Amino acid sequence: MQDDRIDDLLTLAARERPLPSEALIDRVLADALRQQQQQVAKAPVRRTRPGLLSRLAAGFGGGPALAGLCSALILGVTVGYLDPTSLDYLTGTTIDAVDLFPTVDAMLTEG
Amino acid sequence: MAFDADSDTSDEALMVLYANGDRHAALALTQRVLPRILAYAARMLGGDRAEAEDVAQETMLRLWRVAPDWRRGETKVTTWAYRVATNLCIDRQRSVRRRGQVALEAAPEPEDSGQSADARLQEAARLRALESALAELPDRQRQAVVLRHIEGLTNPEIAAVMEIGVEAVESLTARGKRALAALLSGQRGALGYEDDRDAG
Repeated sequence: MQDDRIDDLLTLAARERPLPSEALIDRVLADALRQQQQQVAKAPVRRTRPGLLSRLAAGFGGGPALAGLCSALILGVTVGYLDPTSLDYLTGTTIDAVDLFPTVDAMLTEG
Repeated sequence: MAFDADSDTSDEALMVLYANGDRHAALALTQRVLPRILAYAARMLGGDRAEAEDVAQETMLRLWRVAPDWRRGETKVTTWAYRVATNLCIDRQRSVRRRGQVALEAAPEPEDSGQSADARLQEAARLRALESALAELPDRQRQAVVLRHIEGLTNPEIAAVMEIGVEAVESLTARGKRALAALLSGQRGALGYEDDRDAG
């Protein structure tokens, strides 16, 4: 038999597809819903434990507060680390000496 | 949200929705997958409608069970379903052979498409002859021919269903078609193909 005859027969068979009966569809859907209920009932309730960073952030009053604290920390360390000459350059002034503990001799002098 | 067989939602997305408790997803998947698996099983089981329905229902049940563990992108839902149905059909064919039974029923009668009674009868005869010839093919050739030429799967999809290479699929379908031609050549007259003899 010729190939095109076989192709015609196969095409005809593809067109004549048996359709599922209502009863079969009902059985399949009943299975689906029963399985779905069992799976939902079996599914464990997941309680995710917060991570270390989350707990730390909560301790400081939340993420934004922790971010602000970190920014201040970084700025403080940077300013503290900078060489005083760099500070002079930034401020445009020259401070030769700063007397952080002015003498009190003048106040103590009698007379 | 309601889905139907023609909605844009993919089968894989429907599987996830079903696993999350969506009832409409179950209906949409049934509408999409069940007819294909039933038709395939019927061809594979020589037209035995009752056996084909059992295979289709069992395939769908396994689909529902696997839904919570479904991994998107790994395999297509229909490919997976065809593979399960193939294995179930093979099991049943082996069981039938062990019992020495041959379950071969008449092919479904073609629907009335406005043809003459003679034409409809001839189509029905051709379908019955094809079903009989398909039943004579070795299992792997029958699977390949049905999946390629009746179910319309591509060769890579068939390779995934049958878990073989694409070249092996091409070889099986070619040999299957040649075997079908040989099996049907003796019935050319009854099938209304008398002119084939002259044409070669």
